[in-house]
Amino acid sequence: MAEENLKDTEIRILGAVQNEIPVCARPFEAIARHLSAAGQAVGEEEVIDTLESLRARNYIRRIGPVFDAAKLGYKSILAAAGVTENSIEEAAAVINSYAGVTHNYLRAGDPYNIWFTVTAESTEEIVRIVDEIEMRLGLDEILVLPAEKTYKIKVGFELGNSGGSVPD
Amino acid sequence: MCKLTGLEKKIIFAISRGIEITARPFEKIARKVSVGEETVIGTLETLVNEKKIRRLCAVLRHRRLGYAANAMCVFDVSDENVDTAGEYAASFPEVSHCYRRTRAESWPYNLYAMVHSHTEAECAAVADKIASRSAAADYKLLYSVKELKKENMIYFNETDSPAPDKDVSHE
Repeated sequence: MAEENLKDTEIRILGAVQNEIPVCARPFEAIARHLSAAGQAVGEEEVIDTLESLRARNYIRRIGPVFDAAKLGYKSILAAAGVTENSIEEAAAVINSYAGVTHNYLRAGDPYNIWFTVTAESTEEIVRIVDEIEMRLGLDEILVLPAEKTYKIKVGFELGNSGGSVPD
Repeated sequence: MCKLTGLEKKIIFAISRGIEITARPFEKIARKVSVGEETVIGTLETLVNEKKIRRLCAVLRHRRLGYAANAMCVFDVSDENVDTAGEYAASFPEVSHCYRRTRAESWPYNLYAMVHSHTEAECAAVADKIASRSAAADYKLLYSVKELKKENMIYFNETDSPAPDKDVSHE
Protein backbone atom coordinates (compact mmCIF):
# COMPACT_ATOMS: atom_id res chain seq x y z
CA MET A 1 0.00 0.00 0.00
CA ALA A 2 1.44 3.35 -1.03
CA GLU A 3 2.09 5.50 1.97
CA GLU A 4 1.08 9.09 1.83
CA ASN A 5 2.68 11.55 4.19
CA LEU A 6 0.48 12.52 7.07
CA LYS A 7 0.32 16.16 8.02
CA ASP A 8 1.86 17.23 11.28
CA THR A 9 -1.55 18.00 12.82
CA GLU A 10 -2.82 14.57 11.76
CA ILE A 11 0.17 12.88 13.38
CA ARG A 12 -0.30 14.79 16.64
CA ILE A 13 -4.01 14.02 16.77
CA LEU A 14 -3.49 10.31 15.97
CA GLY A 15 -0.73 10.17 18.58
CA ALA A 16 -3.03 11.65 21.20
CA VAL A 17 -6.09 9.49 20.50
CA GLN A 18 -4.21 6.20 20.24
CA ASN A 19 -2.85 6.92 23.69
CA GLU A 20 -5.96 7.91 25.60
CA ILE A 21 -9.22 9.77 25.13
CA PRO A 22 -10.67 11.19 28.34
CA VAL A 23 -14.11 10.02 29.45
CA CYS A 24 -16.07 13.29 29.60
CA ALA A 25 -19.00 14.95 27.84
CA ARG A 26 -16.84 16.42 25.05
CA PRO A 27 -13.83 14.12 24.71
CA PHE A 28 -12.59 15.64 21.45
CA GLU A 29 -12.71 19.12 22.94
CA ALA A 30 -10.53 17.76 25.76
CA ILE A 31 -8.08 16.35 23.18
CA ALA A 32 -8.01 19.75 21.43
CA ARG A 33 -7.27 21.52 24.72
CA HIS A 34 -4.55 19.00 25.58
CA LEU A 35 -2.86 19.44 22.19
CA SER A 36 -3.17 23.21 22.33
CA ALA A 37 -1.53 23.22 25.75
CA ALA A 38 1.30 21.18 24.24
CA GLY A 39 1.83 23.83 21.57
CA GLN A 40 -0.33 22.47 18.74
CA ALA A 41 -3.16 24.99 18.50
CA VAL A 42 -6.22 23.07 17.34
CA GLY A 43 -9.95 23.30 18.00
CA GLU A 44 -12.58 20.66 18.76
CA GLU A 45 -14.07 20.88 15.29
CA GLU A 46 -10.70 20.37 13.63
CA VAL A 47 -10.01 17.32 15.83
CA ILE A 48 -13.37 15.81 14.86
CA ASP A 49 -12.96 16.60 11.14
CA THR A 50 -9.41 15.26 11.11
CA LEU A 51 -10.39 12.03 12.86
CA GLU A 52 -13.33 11.58 10.51
CA SER A 53 -11.01 12.04 7.54
CA LEU A 54 -8.40 9.64 8.95
CA ARG A 55 -11.11 7.07 9.58
CA ALA A 56 -12.39 7.47 6.02
CA ARG A 57 -8.83 6.97 4.77
CA ASN A 58 -8.58 3.75 6.78
CA TYR A 59 -6.08 4.82 9.42
CA ILE A 60 -8.49 4.28 12.30
CA ARG A 61 -10.13 0.95 12.93
CA ARG A 62 -12.23 1.90 15.91
CA ILE A 63 -12.57 4.41 18.72
CA GLY A 64 -13.91 3.03 21.96
CA PRO A 65 -13.16 1.46 25.31
CA VAL A 66 -10.67 -1.38 25.60
CA PHE A 67 -12.21 -3.82 28.05
CA ASP A 68 -10.42 -6.23 30.34
CA ALA A 69 -12.37 -9.35 29.41
CA ALA A 70 -11.34 -11.20 32.58
CA LYS A 71 -12.59 -8.39 34.81
CA LEU A 72 -15.94 -8.49 33.03
CA GLY A 73 -16.17 -12.16 33.99
CA TYR A 74 -15.17 -13.52 30.57
CA LYS A 75 -12.52 -16.11 29.80
CA SER A 76 -10.31 -16.00 26.74
CA ILE A 77 -7.64 -18.16 25.20
CA LEU A 78 -5.30 -18.25 22.23
CA ALA A 79 -5.85 -21.22 19.96
CA ALA A 80 -3.81 -22.63 17.09
CA ALA A 81 -4.66 -25.03 14.30
CA GLY A 82 -2.58 -26.63 11.57
CA VAL A 83 -4.39 -26.52 8.25
CA THR A 84 -3.25 -27.42 4.75
CA GLU A 85 -2.81 -24.69 2.13
CA ASN A 86 -6.01 -25.58 0.24
CA SER A 87 -8.25 -25.75 3.28
CA ILE A 88 -7.32 -22.38 4.76
CA GLU A 89 -10.34 -20.58 3.36
CA GLU A 90 -12.79 -23.19 4.52
CA ALA A 91 -11.16 -23.35 7.95
CA ALA A 92 -11.26 -19.57 8.30
CA ALA A 93 -14.97 -19.53 7.42
CA VAL A 94 -15.74 -22.13 10.09
CA ILE A 95 -13.58 -20.52 12.78
CA ASN A 96 -14.78 -16.98 12.03
CA SER A 97 -18.43 -18.03 12.29
CA TYR A 98 -18.20 -17.90 16.10
CA ALA A 99 -18.88 -14.50 17.69
CA GLY A 100 -16.38 -15.36 20.43
CA VAL A 101 -13.59 -15.54 17.85
CA THR A 102 -12.47 -11.92 17.65
CA HIS A 103 -8.98 -12.21 16.17
CA ASN A 104 -7.82 -14.72 13.59
CA TYR A 105 -4.55 -14.63 11.68
CA LEU A 106 -2.92 -16.79 9.07
CA ARG A 107 0.71 -17.04 10.17
CA ALA A 108 3.84 -18.42 8.61
CA GLY A 109 4.06 -21.23 11.15
CA ASP A 110 4.64 -24.95 11.11
CA PRO A 111 2.77 -27.06 12.13
CA TYR A 112 0.32 -24.42 13.37
CA ASN A 113 -0.59 -21.73 10.86
CA ILE A 114 -4.02 -20.47 11.97
CA TRP A 115 -3.98 -18.54 15.25
CA PHE A 116 -7.17 -17.20 16.79
CA THR A 117 -8.60 -16.00 20.06
CA VAL A 118 -11.74 -17.33 21.71
CA THR A 119 -13.59 -15.28 24.32
CA ALA A 120 -16.68 -16.59 26.12
CA GLU A 121 -18.49 -16.40 29.44
CA SER A 122 -17.03 -19.65 30.76
CA THR A 123 -14.19 -22.10 30.23
CA GLU A 124 -16.80 -24.76 29.41
CA GLU A 125 -18.16 -22.62 26.58
CA ILE A 126 -14.63 -22.12 25.20
CA VAL A 127 -14.00 -25.87 25.31
CA ARG A 128 -17.32 -26.47 23.56
CA ILE A 129 -16.44 -24.00 20.78
CA VAL A 130 -12.92 -25.41 20.30
CA ASP A 131 -14.20 -29.01 20.27
CA GLU A 132 -16.84 -28.08 17.73
CA ILE A 133 -14.30 -26.36 15.47
CA GLU A 134 -12.01 -29.39 15.75
CA MET A 135 -14.86 -31.67 14.75
CA ARG A 136 -16.12 -29.50 11.90
CA LEU A 137 -12.61 -29.21 10.44
CA GLY A 138 -11.70 -32.83 11.13
CA LEU A 139 -8.54 -31.84 12.99
CA ASP A 140 -6.75 -34.03 15.50
CA GLU A 141 -5.72 -31.18 17.71
CA ILE A 142 -6.27 -27.51 18.26
CA LEU A 143 -3.80 -25.98 20.70
CA VAL A 144 -5.46 -24.17 23.59
CA LEU A 145 -3.12 -21.70 25.23
CA PRO A 146 -4.56 -19.73 28.13
CA ALA A 147 -2.61 -16.72 29.38
CA GLU A 148 -1.18 -17.19 32.86
CA LYS A 149 0.19 -13.70 33.20
CA THR A 150 0.00 -10.45 31.25
CA TYR A 151 3.20 -8.43 30.98
CA LYS A 152 1.96 -5.83 28.53
CA ILE A 153 -1.09 -4.69 26.62
CA LYS A 154 -0.34 -1.34 25.10
CA VAL A 155 -0.48 -0.54 21.47
CA GLY A 156 1.37 2.71 20.85
CA PHE A 157 2.84 3.17 17.42
CA GLU A 158 5.51 5.70 16.72
CA LEU A 159 3.95 7.88 14.08
CA GLY A 160 5.15 10.01 11.26
CA ASN A 161 8.42 11.05 9.84
CA SER A 162 9.21 14.12 11.88
CA GLY A 163 8.83 14.35 15.60
CA GLY A 164 5.57 12.45 15.65
CA SER A 165 6.56 10.25 18.53
CA VAL A 166 3.87 9.14 20.88
CA PRO A 167 3.82 9.87 24.58
CA ASP A 168 3.80 6.86 26.87
CA MET B 1 -14.63 -8.76 41.35
CA CYS B 2 -16.72 -9.05 38.22
CA LYS B 3 -20.11 -8.20 39.58
CA LEU B 4 -21.78 -5.86 37.18
CA THR B 5 -25.16 -4.19 37.43
CA GLY B 6 -27.78 -4.61 34.74
CA LEU B 7 -27.23 -1.00 33.70
CA GLU B 8 -23.48 -1.50 33.43
CA LYS B 9 -24.01 -4.52 31.20
CA LYS B 10 -26.38 -2.58 28.96
CA ILE B 11 -23.94 0.29 28.62
CA ILE B 12 -21.02 -2.08 27.91
CA PHE B 13 -23.09 -3.83 25.25
CA ALA B 14 -24.14 -0.53 23.68
CA ILE B 15 -20.55 0.76 23.50
CA SER B 16 -18.88 -2.55 22.50
CA ARG B 17 -18.68 -1.51 18.86
CA GLY B 18 -17.16 1.85 19.72
CA ILE B 19 -18.18 5.49 19.85
CA GLU B 20 -18.93 7.86 17.02
CA ILE B 21 -16.59 10.68 16.10
CA THR B 22 -18.92 13.46 17.13
CA ALA B 23 -18.91 16.27 19.71
CA ARG B 24 -20.95 14.34 22.29
CA PRO B 25 -20.49 10.63 21.60
CA PHE B 26 -21.79 9.46 24.98
CA GLU B 27 -25.09 11.19 24.40
CA LYS B 28 -25.62 8.81 21.48
CA ILE B 29 -24.83 5.81 23.68
CA ALA B 30 -27.16 7.21 26.35
CA ARG B 31 -30.00 7.36 23.86
CA LYS B 32 -29.50 3.69 22.93
CA VAL B 33 -29.72 2.69 26.58
CA SER B 34 -32.44 5.25 27.43
CA VAL B 35 -30.52 6.92 30.24
CA GLY B 36 -28.94 10.35 30.65
CA GLU B 37 -25.55 11.22 29.19
CA GLU B 38 -24.15 11.82 32.69
CA THR B 39 -25.19 8.30 33.72
CA VAL B 40 -23.20 6.84 30.83
CA ILE B 41 -20.16 8.98 31.65
CA GLY B 42 -20.41 8.17 35.38
CA THR B 43 -20.70 4.45 34.66
CA LEU B 44 -17.72 4.50 32.29
CA GLU B 45 -15.66 6.37 34.90
CA THR B 46 -16.52 3.69 37.46
CA LEU B 47 -15.53 0.94 35.01
CA VAL B 48 -12.23 2.72 34.34
CA ASN B 49 -11.56 3.06 38.08
CA GLU B 50 -12.32 -0.62 38.60
CA LYS B 51 -9.98 -1.40 35.68
CA LYS B 52 -12.77 -3.17 33.79
CA ILE B 53 -12.01 -0.67 31.06
CA ARG B 54 -8.28 -0.37 30.42
CA ARG B 55 -8.71 2.92 28.59
CA LEU B 56 -10.71 4.71 25.96
CA CYS B 57 -8.66 5.15 22.80
CA ALA B 58 -8.44 4.86 19.04
CA VAL B 59 -7.25 1.58 17.54
CA LEU B 60 -5.16 2.33 14.48
CA ARG B 61 -4.52 0.20 11.43
CA HIS B 62 -0.84 -0.49 11.85
CA ARG B 63 -0.23 -1.73 8.30
CA ARG B 64 -1.61 1.54 6.99
CA LEU B 65 0.96 3.33 9.16
CA GLY B 66 3.81 1.43 7.56
CA TYR B 67 4.13 -1.38 10.08
CA ALA B 68 4.41 -4.08 7.45
CA ALA B 69 6.13 -6.73 9.57
CA ASN B 70 4.07 -8.17 12.40
CA ALA B 71 5.27 -11.25 14.22
CA MET B 72 4.03 -13.30 17.07
CA CYS B 73 7.28 -14.31 18.75
CA VAL B 74 7.20 -17.37 20.98
CA PHE B 75 9.96 -18.33 23.39
CA ASP B 76 10.67 -21.42 25.44
CA VAL B 77 12.03 -19.90 28.62
CA SER B 78 12.69 -21.62 31.93
CA ASP B 79 9.96 -21.14 34.51
CA GLU B 80 12.44 -19.29 36.74
CA ASN B 81 13.36 -16.82 33.99
CA VAL B 82 9.99 -16.20 32.44
CA ASP B 83 8.87 -13.22 34.55
CA THR B 84 12.14 -11.35 34.04
CA ALA B 85 12.00 -12.20 30.33
CA GLY B 86 8.38 -11.01 30.11
CA GLU B 87 9.18 -7.67 31.75
CA TYR B 88 12.19 -7.27 29.47
CA ALA B 89 10.12 -8.04 26.35
CA ALA B 90 7.43 -5.60 27.52
CA SER B 91 10.01 -2.80 27.67
CA PHE B 92 10.39 -2.73 23.87
CA PRO B 93 8.20 -0.12 22.15
CA GLU B 94 7.83 -2.61 19.25
CA VAL B 95 6.09 -5.08 21.58
CA SER B 96 2.36 -4.36 21.91
CA HIS B 97 1.20 -7.47 23.78
CA CYS B 98 3.19 -9.85 25.93
CA TYR B 99 1.92 -12.85 27.88
CA ARG B 100 3.06 -15.96 29.67
CA ARG B 101 0.97 -18.88 28.43
CA THR B 102 0.54 -22.51 29.37
CA ARG B 103 2.93 -24.84 27.54
CA ALA B 104 1.37 -27.56 25.41
CA GLU B 105 2.81 -31.02 24.89
CA SER B 106 3.50 -30.40 21.23
CA TRP B 107 4.28 -26.71 21.71
CA PRO B 108 6.77 -25.99 24.51
CA TYR B 109 6.70 -22.19 24.27
CA ASN B 110 5.60 -20.22 27.33
CA LEU B 111 6.37 -16.57 26.49
CA TYR B 112 4.52 -14.71 23.72
CA ALA B 113 5.32 -11.23 22.39
CA MET B 114 3.59 -9.45 19.52
CA VAL B 115 6.24 -7.45 17.67
CA HIS B 116 5.37 -4.77 15.11
CA SER B 117 7.93 -3.12 12.90
CA HIS B 118 8.60 -1.75 9.46
CA THR B 119 10.75 -4.67 8.34
CA GLU B 120 11.17 -8.34 9.21
CA ALA B 121 14.82 -7.68 10.05
CA GLU B 122 13.76 -5.23 12.77
CA CYS B 123 11.30 -7.75 14.21
CA ALA B 124 13.97 -10.43 14.17
CA ALA B 125 16.41 -8.15 15.99
CA VAL B 126 13.92 -7.58 18.83
CA ALA B 127 13.12 -11.30 19.12
CA ASP B 128 16.83 -12.09 19.09
CA LYS B 129 17.52 -9.74 21.99
CA ILE B 130 14.67 -11.17 24.04
CA ALA B 131 15.80 -14.74 23.33
CA SER B 132 19.42 -14.18 24.28
CA ARG B 133 18.66 -12.11 27.39
CA SER B 134 16.24 -14.76 28.66
CA ALA B 135 18.42 -17.74 27.67
CA ALA B 136 15.53 -19.21 25.68
CA ALA B 137 15.98 -22.88 24.78
CA ASP B 138 14.20 -22.19 21.53
CA TYR B 139 12.16 -19.45 19.89
CA LYS B 140 10.20 -18.78 16.72
CA LEU B 141 8.81 -15.81 14.83
CA LEU B 142 5.41 -16.40 13.29
CA TYR B 143 4.81 -13.54 10.88
CA SER B 144 1.23 -12.67 10.11
CA VAL B 145 0.45 -13.46 6.49
CA LYS B 146 -3.20 -12.46 6.46
CA GLU B 147 -5.74 -11.03 8.85
CA LEU B 148 -8.63 -13.49 8.69
CA LYS B 149 -10.78 -11.73 11.29
CA LYS B 150 -10.48 -8.80 13.62
CA GLU B 151 -13.61 -7.66 15.39
CA ASN B 152 -14.70 -6.28 18.69
CA MET B 153 -15.94 -8.67 21.28
CA ILE B 154 -19.59 -7.82 21.90
CA TYR B 155 -20.06 -8.31 25.62
CA PHE B 156 -23.35 -9.08 27.32
CA ASN B 157 -25.15 -9.72 24.09
CA GLU B 158 -28.26 -11.06 25.76
CA THR B 159 -31.08 -12.07 23.49
CA ASP B 160 -33.47 -9.68 25.20
CA SER B 161 -31.13 -6.72 24.73
CA PRO B 162 -31.85 -4.49 21.77
CA ALA B 163 -29.20 -4.67 19.09
CA PRO B 164 -27.22 -1.46 18.59
CA ASP B 165 -29.09 0.46 15.91
CA LYS B 166 -25.95 1.48 14.13
CA ASP B 167 -22.64 -0.26 13.85
CA VAL B 168 -20.04 2.40 14.48
CA SER B 169 -17.12 -0.01 14.39
CA HIS B 170 -14.73 1.44 11.89
CA GLU B 171 -14.07 -1.69 9.92
